[in-house]
Amino acid sequence: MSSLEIKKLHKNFSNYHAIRGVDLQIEKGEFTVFVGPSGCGKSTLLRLIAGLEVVTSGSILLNDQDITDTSAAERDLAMVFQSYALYPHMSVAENMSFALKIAKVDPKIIAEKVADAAEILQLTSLLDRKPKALSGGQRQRVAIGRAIVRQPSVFLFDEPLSNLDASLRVQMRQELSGLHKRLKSTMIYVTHDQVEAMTLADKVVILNAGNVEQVGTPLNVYYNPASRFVAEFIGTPKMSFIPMSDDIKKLIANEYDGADPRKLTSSTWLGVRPESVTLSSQLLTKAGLTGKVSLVERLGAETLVYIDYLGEHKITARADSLASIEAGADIQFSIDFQNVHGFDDDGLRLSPDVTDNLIVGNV
Amino acid sequence: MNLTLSQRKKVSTWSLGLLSWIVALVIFFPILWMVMTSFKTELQAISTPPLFMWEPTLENFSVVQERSDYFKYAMNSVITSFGATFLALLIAVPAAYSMAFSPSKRTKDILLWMLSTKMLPAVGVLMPIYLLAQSTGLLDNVFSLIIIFTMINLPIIMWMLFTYFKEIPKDILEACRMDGASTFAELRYIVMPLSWGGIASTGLLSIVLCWNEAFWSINLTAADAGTLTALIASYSSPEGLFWAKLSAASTLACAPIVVFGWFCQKQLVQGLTFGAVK
Amino acid sequence: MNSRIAKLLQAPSIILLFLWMIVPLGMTLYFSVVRYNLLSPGPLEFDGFSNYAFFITDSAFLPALINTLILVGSILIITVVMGLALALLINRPFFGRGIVRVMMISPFFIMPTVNALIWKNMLMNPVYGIFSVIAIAFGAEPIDWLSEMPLLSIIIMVSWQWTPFALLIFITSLQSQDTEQQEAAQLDGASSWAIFKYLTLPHLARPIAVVIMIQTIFHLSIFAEIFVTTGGGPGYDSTNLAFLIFSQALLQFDVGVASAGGVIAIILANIVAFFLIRAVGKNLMVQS
Ligand SMILES: Nc1ncnc2c1ncn2[C@@H]1O[C@H](COP(=O)(O)OP(=O)(O)O)[C@@H](O)[C@H]1O
Ligand SMILES: [Mg+2]
Repeated sequence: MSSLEIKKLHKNFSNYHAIRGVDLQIEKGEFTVFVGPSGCGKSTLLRLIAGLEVVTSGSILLNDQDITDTSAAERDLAMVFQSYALYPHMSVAENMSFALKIAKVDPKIIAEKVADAAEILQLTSLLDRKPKALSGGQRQRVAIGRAIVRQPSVFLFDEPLSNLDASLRVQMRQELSGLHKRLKSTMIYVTHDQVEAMTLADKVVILNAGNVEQVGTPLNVYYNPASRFVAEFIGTPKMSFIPMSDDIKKLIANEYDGADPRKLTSSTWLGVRPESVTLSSQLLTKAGLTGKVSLVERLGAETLVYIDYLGEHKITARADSLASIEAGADIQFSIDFQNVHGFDDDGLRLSPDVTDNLIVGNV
Repeated sequence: MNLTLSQRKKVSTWSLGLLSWIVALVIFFPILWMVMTSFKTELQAISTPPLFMWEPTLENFSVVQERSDYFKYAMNSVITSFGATFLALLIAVPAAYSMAFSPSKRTKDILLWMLSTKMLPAVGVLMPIYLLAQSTGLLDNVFSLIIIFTMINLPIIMWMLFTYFKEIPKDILEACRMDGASTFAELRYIVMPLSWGGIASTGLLSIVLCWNEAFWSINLTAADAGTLTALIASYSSPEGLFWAKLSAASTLACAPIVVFGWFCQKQLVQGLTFGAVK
Repeated sequence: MNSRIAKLLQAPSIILLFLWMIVPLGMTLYFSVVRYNLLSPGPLEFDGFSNYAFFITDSAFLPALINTLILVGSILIITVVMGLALALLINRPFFGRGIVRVMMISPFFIMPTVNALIWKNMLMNPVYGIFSVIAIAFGAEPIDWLSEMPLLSIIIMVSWQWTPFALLIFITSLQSQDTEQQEAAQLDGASSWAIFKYLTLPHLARPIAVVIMIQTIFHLSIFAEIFVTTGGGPGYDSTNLAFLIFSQALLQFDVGVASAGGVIAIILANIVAFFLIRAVGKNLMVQS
């Protein structure tokens, strides 16, 4: 278990500035997830930590030791690749023992460690097979096994689940989470899937175009996104954004008796999560806002309702499974202004943290 | 005819197979005829109509061996082809490996340039090489032939190896590096085993090309370093009318490489892609 | 691997090839502008471009140039078409395919001198050759191939040798072709011809480029077949540039003129190489 510190890290590819000054502190035993849209630099950041890319400027410290110029082979980190990158000419057992063999570990100890890892990952019966003869999920396990046997100071994962089908992905996600609880190692995990980020992470690092946009616990970034970018990226369905209008200002004034503790009226955009929108099926109630239903998605357990507000702005709301709402109908709805966020023109959040909701998230 | 689909398929497979056999026999006939002639007497060899049944004789082979020391020429061919192939691989493997895995902006241009040196017609530089060899006393010398064969095959060898190395996924090498392997260990445990087939078929092609190389062997060698190609060329005029002996010499000259080629043809069929198979 | 090690690993092959190219090239260029005949020794005197003038105005030059181009062009066409046809023919399994394949690729392993001798003596000989026997059997006049159609004879010999090379490469490529794609096309009602044209041929584009590239390199300097069979004749009917320079150099011992010819051959090869590399070379490299 080890801590990792990244200082003012930059990476330039010949003509592209991929990492633009990242500062980051990762604690011992923490499960950290780098998340962000494709192309934002997650893999590059991970590969810089791994030593597979050369740092342009800045430094990386592992347990307070500068490893910026240490070669990948000497960093004592293990990486699980998106493509698994298994050695095709070696059996499962050979794949898992390769690193130890290179390190000249006693063959008896190697055999024990491989057997242990195989046990944990349910690979025992497959040890003699070549990667070609394995399914995607099994290959994934071997790749993880290869990392486990080494007991590295830090585990690095680059989108390890993205080549698996949906149900296997959920299963492996849970297994990974269990593995982290069991090994208590420091793990860094890259994904573009915010669900994986939310479910696995102790700490989420949201990246945007080579910059760290926000660092926090999953619930913290969900409830208190630092910017419109984070707000949009985290949470499904996505947060909706509506422009500030006189109507809304009036409603806010009503809600807070003229005060504005959440600094909403001075912002240009309101970010509203679906759970903060309440639909009123009866046109009689004084819900406050009116829109037109543009699409109804019935997911079974619940129904998603997309509302056109002021013509062009879409607001997503949740409704009951069997709610009798039809596309094309006018609909009234209200917004819970205690839980919305205000953003300025630059996408920065003006409203203070929503602290009440974070009791669970503070564990 | 009213045939079912499976019957029609059978008929077409059968007739295509038959056609393939006929074509193959036609293509192979010159070689077969050469081998047959080598077991005939000189008179049988030129009989019209050609003889297809006769009592084979080994006489030609012993005459050939008596007249010109076959084994010396064969030895020269073996030494030059294997020597040049070994040398070329020795130089080309590390170079192609580093070009494939640590390419620079100029890598592709370098490879194209290498190929273009192969375009330099040998005749264009025959005189200088001839005079250089003469002045250094390396005319009719196995060593100079090895150097020349190495150089003329190097571009193609580089290109083939480059395409094989390119096919190894980068991820696997990175995984290997993460596993703590040095560059040497990476070569030994990952790159070599994975590209072994490619290196082997590159070597095979190089050996075949060297064995059959005619221009330099004819022009730069004589009695000492003569290879089998040169031997056969020397047979062409004086022995022109002694077909049976000529065939025996030819059969002896080709047999090693043809048999070698047959044994390795699987390897060649799988490996001779020049990166052209995805 | 850092770039210093990479350079170190590449250096031997690059330096050696560079020397192999530049030293003889420089010498050839030098010889081509001096008077230098091995039969009349003396100090080498600067001679301007008279060697070039001599070589180009030689009545053999133009035929040799044209013969070179005919040889390369026709052999390329024949080997690619034949190689393709044979590869398609034996692409599906049938009884004894392994043996058929071995027989078909065998000519590639035969050395050019032997190849030439077999064809010259045992097949194309006007009296005892198999071809004339066949011709007589059909009541036709036997042909003296090497003196009546020398260039065609050379083309046949070289094509026989190199068709197997094309076949080898095409077969490898065909076997990697996606059968699902073809089955889908069959279900869509595509004819065999359409499948060949729209699926197989595009799949073979790169292998064809490879075959053309490598064969051009070899055929620009066909030598042994001419040396052993026709000796460039009759007249200059089967003399290509390579053989012409060879005869200048080693038969007439005129190093100066031979070198001028060498320079011309190099220029010609570079013109061909330029177009070839532009057409197929780049295409070969994109993949990486
Ligand atoms: N070797 C490279 N050369 C040039 N640009 C690169 C290289 N690797 C990544 N990039 C660029 O850097 C950016 C970040 O890439 P990456 O870290 O792979 O993104 P992701 O967040 O999807 O993992 C992308 O725009 C990519 O095009
Ligand atoms: Mg990535």
